[in-house]
Amino acid sequence: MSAPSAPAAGVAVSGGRRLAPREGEVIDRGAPLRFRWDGREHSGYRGDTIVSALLAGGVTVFSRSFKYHRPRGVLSASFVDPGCTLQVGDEPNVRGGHRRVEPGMNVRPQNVWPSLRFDAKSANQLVGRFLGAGFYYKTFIKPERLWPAYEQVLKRFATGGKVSPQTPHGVYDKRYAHPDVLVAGGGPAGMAAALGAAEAGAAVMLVEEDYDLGGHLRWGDASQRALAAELVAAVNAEAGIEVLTNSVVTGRYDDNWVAVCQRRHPDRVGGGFGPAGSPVIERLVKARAGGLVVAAGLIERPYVFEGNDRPGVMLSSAARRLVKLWAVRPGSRAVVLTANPEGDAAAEDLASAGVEVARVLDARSGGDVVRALGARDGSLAAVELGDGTRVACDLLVTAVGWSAPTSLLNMSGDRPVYEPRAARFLPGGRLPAGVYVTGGLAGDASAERLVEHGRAVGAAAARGEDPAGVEALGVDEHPEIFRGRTHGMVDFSEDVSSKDLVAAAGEGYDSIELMKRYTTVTMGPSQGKLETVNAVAVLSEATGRSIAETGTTVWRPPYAPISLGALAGRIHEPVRYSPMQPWHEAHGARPLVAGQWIRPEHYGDPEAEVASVRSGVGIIDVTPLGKLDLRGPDVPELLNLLYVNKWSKLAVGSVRYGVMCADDGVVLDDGVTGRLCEDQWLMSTTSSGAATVWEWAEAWLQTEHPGWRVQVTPVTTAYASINIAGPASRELLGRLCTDVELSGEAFPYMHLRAGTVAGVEGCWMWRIGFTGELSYELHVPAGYGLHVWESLLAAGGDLGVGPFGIEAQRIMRLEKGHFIVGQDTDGLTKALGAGLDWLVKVDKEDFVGKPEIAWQAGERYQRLVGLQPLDGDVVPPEASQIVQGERRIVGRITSSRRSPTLGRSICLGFVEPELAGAGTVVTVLAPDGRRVPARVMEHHAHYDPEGVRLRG
Amino acid sequence: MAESKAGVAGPVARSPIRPSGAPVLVDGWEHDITPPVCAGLRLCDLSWLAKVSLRASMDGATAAGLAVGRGRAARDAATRRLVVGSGPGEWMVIGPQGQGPAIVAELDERFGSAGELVSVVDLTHGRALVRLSGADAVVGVLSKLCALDFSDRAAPDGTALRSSVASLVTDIVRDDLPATLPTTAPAAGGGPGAGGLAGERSYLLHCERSSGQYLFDALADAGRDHAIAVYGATERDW
Repeated sequence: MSAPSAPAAGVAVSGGRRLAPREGEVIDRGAPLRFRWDGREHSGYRGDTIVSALLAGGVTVFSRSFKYHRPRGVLSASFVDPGCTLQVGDEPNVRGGHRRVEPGMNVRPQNVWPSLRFDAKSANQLVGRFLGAGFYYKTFIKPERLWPAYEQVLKRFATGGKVSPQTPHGVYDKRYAHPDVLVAGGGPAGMAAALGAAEAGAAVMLVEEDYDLGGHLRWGDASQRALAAELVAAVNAEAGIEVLTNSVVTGRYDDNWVAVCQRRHPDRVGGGFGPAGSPVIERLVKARAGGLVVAAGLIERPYVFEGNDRPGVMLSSAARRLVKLWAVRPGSRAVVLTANPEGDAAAEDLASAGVEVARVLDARSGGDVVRALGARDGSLAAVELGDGTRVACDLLVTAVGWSAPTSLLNMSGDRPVYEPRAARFLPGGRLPAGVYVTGGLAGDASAERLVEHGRAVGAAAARGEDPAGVEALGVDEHPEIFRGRTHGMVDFSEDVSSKDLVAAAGEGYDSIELMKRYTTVTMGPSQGKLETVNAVAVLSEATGRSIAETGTTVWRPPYAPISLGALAGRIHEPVRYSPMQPWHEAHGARPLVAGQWIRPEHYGDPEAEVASVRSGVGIIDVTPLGKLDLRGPDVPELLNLLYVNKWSKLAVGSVRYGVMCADDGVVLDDGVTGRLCEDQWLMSTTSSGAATVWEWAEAWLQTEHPGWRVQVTPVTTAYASINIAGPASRELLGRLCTDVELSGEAFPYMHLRAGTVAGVEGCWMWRIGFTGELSYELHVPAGYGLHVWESLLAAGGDLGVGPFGIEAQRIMRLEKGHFIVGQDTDGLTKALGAGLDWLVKVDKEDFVGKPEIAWQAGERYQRLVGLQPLDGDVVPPEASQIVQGERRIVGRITSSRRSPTLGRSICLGFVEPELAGAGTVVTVLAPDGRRVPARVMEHHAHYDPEGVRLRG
Repeated sequence: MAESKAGVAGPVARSPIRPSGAPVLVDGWEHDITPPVCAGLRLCDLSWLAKVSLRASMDGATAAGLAVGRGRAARDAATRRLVVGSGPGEWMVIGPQGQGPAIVAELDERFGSAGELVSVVDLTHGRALVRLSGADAVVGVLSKLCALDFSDRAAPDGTALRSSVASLVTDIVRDDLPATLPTTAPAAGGGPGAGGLAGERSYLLHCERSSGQYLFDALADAGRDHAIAVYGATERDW
């Protein structure tokens, strides 16, 4: 009855395995498509997997195995099919048994050299007996010094595809979800559970690994397909159910924190991610589910015998899926080994597809396969039966039982138990509240009964009820068939045979966990889904212990491989801009990334910016300076506690410089704080310290002094901050501010005033600065920042006003000898070492860090000093060490620049106390080995140490 | 709000979020006036609204007087002000443009003289404020950026939250828009009356001003899959 369809004109390869249209097929014959495989053009239909399309075109070998490079074909025709891992374009390790083929795909085999047909590395088979269990450990362990060389060789034999460094970054996404019930598995029981939960009022997320809902009903008989269609329609009509197909629950963590990897669906608008054209490839969904219903179904287990990995030997579910879903004839002449009704059905399905079924061997009555014999290319040519007869065939279908993918149950704390009557593991009954099981994992039943069970479990999950109230499913008797009388492959991904396992047990690795690590069985990409139970059975056979006694390995997340892109998701790194940022960008500012802030480093020539400030006037955007609004009668108490100096007597309208230390006396932050009125203060912090100081203040207030009447409101970005610096700054500000008297007498250094600037009311003006010049720091309501900035530039054209950036400010502050917390100090710099003796008031009753600083006074510590290289043309790089003799480190340079004002190099640095006296010449050892003599200066300030200019 | 004439001198206040089209000056603030292109998922800037922070004891007279608990928001119908209980002992009053000083004065007068320590700070310029509206897609956008549960059950209209949105500390207020009558003629048999229409799901989000553009961009990016429209706020948005 099969009529192989003719390949489309111009298609190079034609195996003629495509069947006439069939009920239930998922391919769209109206949508043919072309793609490339191994350099040649192939055809398929929308709905085909890569493997179904290739098989329809006559391709039967898709890869070479991991260790022995044996040819591999279809085994399960599903996501876990170990022989169908392929390279698609630049994407490696694509599951060809699962991934839908798309027009134009460039599919290639991976891990083959020079070609799939002739793989030189298959020579490994000849020396296979030396490549058994523990081969790596035994062969490469000694001598250890040769390991790097071994590594280079072994790398060539490593499996996996290739990623080009030029691969464009794909778009990956992340999403949180809070479903009342999350159902893992969209077969009949899973769909029913989703419906049961939704009908009970729950918001449900239904996750299915395949592209379509329906589970095994999709390749069942007409009535099963009808039931599937009915359930799918009901699910789609239920608004309370969100369906994620081609998606997989990768892990279950505490309190039903469930990770779902949602993959692109080529047939859905936007790949299922939104409107057409959505570029998203995968999305990691982090779901906090009220209830988790595990309905993962069952996975068919391979039979272990000699040659069981030959192309042409496949599982009954694979054969049925190929025939029923994709209308592909998996072979021409078949032998079927069956131990269950599904195997029986496979024989019927094959016959209906025009496959000559040469023999049906019933394992329930002693039928057996001894070995699969290969043709020259390694593919199946014949089968040797239990009675010694040989049957020529190109297809051997086995149906010897099922494995329960209990991963999510293990992750929930359950230890599934072996049920010999069913020849598989079942839930162990140690599930936490909120985790439920239904479907094949829970037991055997007709589709109708599975639906009934699923619906009841779903409703229980929605209500948070104990699942014990749902009548349990029973199990069907199934013979225990794992390995025949010959040895064969157990782990198809890792090329581990039953012989290897028996040998490992003989060597003493007779616990399943040890054996796993020694032989790598179950550690490949299929992660035990196909091979765990066979490995346990072989070990049980080797040791004489029962399967129940042998136990299983532990299944951990992720259930299925997950791409690094999906784990990374979208990258969210907050950035902060000042209100003047558009101006900076428009005027060529070089951006400087300072924490989250983007700041102008300079506008082309920082030394010219310095000269402009020293001789005229310049303005700098200092918006990132931290600002805290402090209110309440006890603010002086707080300031006295946090700062090392005294604050009680600061008058309204004045500002004061302060330094904060942590409890260990280490300098934490510095800044200027002003008293705006009796009970209102404005504290400024360093730009990077704004959040730290806020939390620091809150921590002391909330934990140590809850009785203090102080409230802190962060206002850092409520104000745009502009420092006007230079001899002409008063003149410039005076042109825009008419309601404040700016003369030196009326508004002296270290004072503040409130006023109107460029028409903006509510501006604060502080007579302070970092540059050593006469300067005013404006704090302007931030929305007006750009207006004031532009007004200043417009008003001061004749004064030569221009912007200056961070670099110019850094040069000028170094000329003035001001240190920067975090640059000139580090996590060990205490107040006295930083040269703050003049500021620290140890006669204060208490302040944070006082005991440590008092202790430091009696200790020997390095001191911060001003330094000038004797050769003014040499600028020793920051972090250069100061040495004595050949190598003894006695200090370091913390800041260094060429001073355009002085025309020479200047530095700040730490030196041992004996070297801190003015005039001492120390040796700076630059990273390039140069030795630079430098003189210790009397002051930190290299320029205007008396501070005449800033008081002008 | 009256539009001022172009060229009239006077200080210009700007939002931290760059307008999508040429802005228009409205009472000294630049406004984006790009009309909404759809009635679906929408994002607009409301940073020009008055925002006044109030700190007081969690259980004192001020808290009792404000009558808005932590995690809740309530709108005063007469003044159109939204009082948000944004944190322990922390409230935010959001009002029409230009009302910042008036709100400060009013709150100071009402609560500042009762002997309780109260900080009333005008943060109009310190916070970026945006509105994200449009049925269920809004939840789709937020769920890409924030781990909280935005379902009606967990966060109904009038819920105030503070969380991480795109890794940024953000205050989120569920502030559904009032229902509007359908723009097309109602179906035969008559549509529901205006009073019977449910409001439209909508959220106000505000963060430190300096990260306003970042938050806006992150929301727009997350909304791409839902065809988000960026537009200038209309009367209905406030």
